[in-house]
Amino acid sequence: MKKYLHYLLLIVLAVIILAPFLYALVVSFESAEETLAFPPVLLPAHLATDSYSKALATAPLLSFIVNSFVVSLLVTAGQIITCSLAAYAFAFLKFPCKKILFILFLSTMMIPAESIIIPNYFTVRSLDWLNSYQGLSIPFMASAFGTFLLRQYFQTLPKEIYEAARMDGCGRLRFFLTMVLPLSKPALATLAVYAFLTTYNQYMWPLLITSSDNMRTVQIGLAMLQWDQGISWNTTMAGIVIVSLPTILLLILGQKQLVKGLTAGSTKG
Amino acid sequence: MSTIEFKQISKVYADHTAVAPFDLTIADGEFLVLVGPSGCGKTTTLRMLSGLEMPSSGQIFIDGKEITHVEPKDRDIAMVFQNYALYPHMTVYENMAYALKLRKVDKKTIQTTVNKTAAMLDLQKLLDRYPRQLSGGQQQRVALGRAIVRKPKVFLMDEPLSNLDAKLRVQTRTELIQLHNRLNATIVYVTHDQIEAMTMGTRIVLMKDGIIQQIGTPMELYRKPTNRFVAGFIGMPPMQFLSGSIKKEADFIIFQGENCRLKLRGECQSSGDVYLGIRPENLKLSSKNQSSIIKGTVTVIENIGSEVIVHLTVGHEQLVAKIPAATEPPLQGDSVTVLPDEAPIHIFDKATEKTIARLYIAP
Repeated sequence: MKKYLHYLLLIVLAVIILAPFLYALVVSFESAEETLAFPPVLLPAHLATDSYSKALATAPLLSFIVNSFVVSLLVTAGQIITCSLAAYAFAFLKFPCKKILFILFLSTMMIPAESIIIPNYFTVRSLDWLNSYQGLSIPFMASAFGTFLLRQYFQTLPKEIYEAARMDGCGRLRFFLTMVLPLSKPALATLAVYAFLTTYNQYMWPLLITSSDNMRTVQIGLAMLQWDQGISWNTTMAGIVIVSLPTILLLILGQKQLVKGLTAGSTKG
Repeated sequence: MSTIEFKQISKVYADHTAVAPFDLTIADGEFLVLVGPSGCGKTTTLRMLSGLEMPSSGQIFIDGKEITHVEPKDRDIAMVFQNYALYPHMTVYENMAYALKLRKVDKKTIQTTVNKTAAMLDLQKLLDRYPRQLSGGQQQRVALGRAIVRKPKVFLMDEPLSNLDAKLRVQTRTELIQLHNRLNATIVYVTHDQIEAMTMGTRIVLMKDGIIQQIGTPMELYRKPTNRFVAGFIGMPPMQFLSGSIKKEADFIIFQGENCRLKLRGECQSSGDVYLGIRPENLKLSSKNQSSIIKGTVTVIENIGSEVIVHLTVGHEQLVAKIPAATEPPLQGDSVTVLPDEAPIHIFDKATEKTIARLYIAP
């Protein structure tokens, strides 16, 4: 009995969380009249797919998806490299002022991104990186959060493994590459998914530094659908479904590792 | 040939001395055991030898060559860790081959060496398994194998048996002794278990609070402890103590304590307050001797089959006697008299706790 109640609760919560997306999916298949009807139509009379072709015609969504993918992959790769190296230093090496440096590192997480967006814009402009992949990706290639996440995970690796490897003749770089990285796959996967999704969902920064359509990213594309078509909801929703699909696929593939990475180390102080 | 020499080695942390300066020479092929209670500095000493910890002062030599500040990997020593520290993402074979691979030994030699070592440790069938698929005892053997394949000058072992269950520990203990005989290697072994120290060590270094208490063969520590701490650490159950005073009376020395008076013979210059130490195995239930007596009340009887361990209260002090099972044991609450046999009785100065004499019971 208790088990059923448990499941019932989970189902209700799942429906609440999924409802907006499911509604968006339904609306994307409705005709323009149905979207404006009251009470709202929850099941369209027939599957209208012209909203999809309209969305693709209004904004070059596919090329925006490609742009977003390229930028997200670059940022993900960059963060994996820089964060794992920084975390390795914080977790395994002994150097002066390590604690203070780490706190300083963490404190950058407290600075709101909006407050540094203007200085960043000027930096990127002076480098002549407006409307470019490097302008979209390089400012995000290091992350205090990612460093923190990986450091916490690295610290759960037994110190004796490091010592055993040292005695076996393993240098620092080799230890990092052949021991730390393979043993930290769950944490690395978590960071990868997190970095990818955050970048994929970026709006403000790409909007600021891109002006040509061939460099814009998906979230701007979605906004374009709303401005150009007034309130043509089925087209907007179709656009949302199109840009969400790649990330949903990614989440399904990475889900197992993600959960493992977020909960790993939670039982160890 | 690998001899180890410590010269005035010490380790001082900000607020306390982990290891006080000491000298020690370990001969080739020796099985040296560092033993003592936790926090006595034995592991720190081992780690200084391994290079994982830098000494605060002094020098360490292996085969006459100074290695005090040499990187661990260049010292040609192998270490077995308490929790084994196997590489979780590598198979048993890869774990054992790793050090050789880093030394760029050719594949064929690696294969022969690993297989030979695996055969020696009965690991052949486990070579493709991962550490998490092994039992504690198997993991322990892999850790040993990983050290053996390297053919190091010195083996360091940091409480390698403490994660095993009691039965396996006894078995592995004998295996380690055989292994030492076969490899003829120099082994430095850390443990807090005096039985391991007594059974395995060719020599024992007993430490307390960072200070070496005594260095000697197991029997030297058992027969001639230099102070009360050593006496009370070695033996199972360990030596028992009664406090009292000694004074000369004619040719004899009389020990007088609470509910206890012993007439002793032997050389002893001092007199005054002392601790008297007797090993449980040297006490017997008896009342025959007229001039000596220890009167006590039985509090606990532990019958372990081969012998009976009798716990007594003598005045305000505790005493333990180990008597043969053949003797009819007393009952709890009984008043009994016990007496030492012909084995030496140890006298320790009350203030310094140093051994001042070894005496014998007078007839």
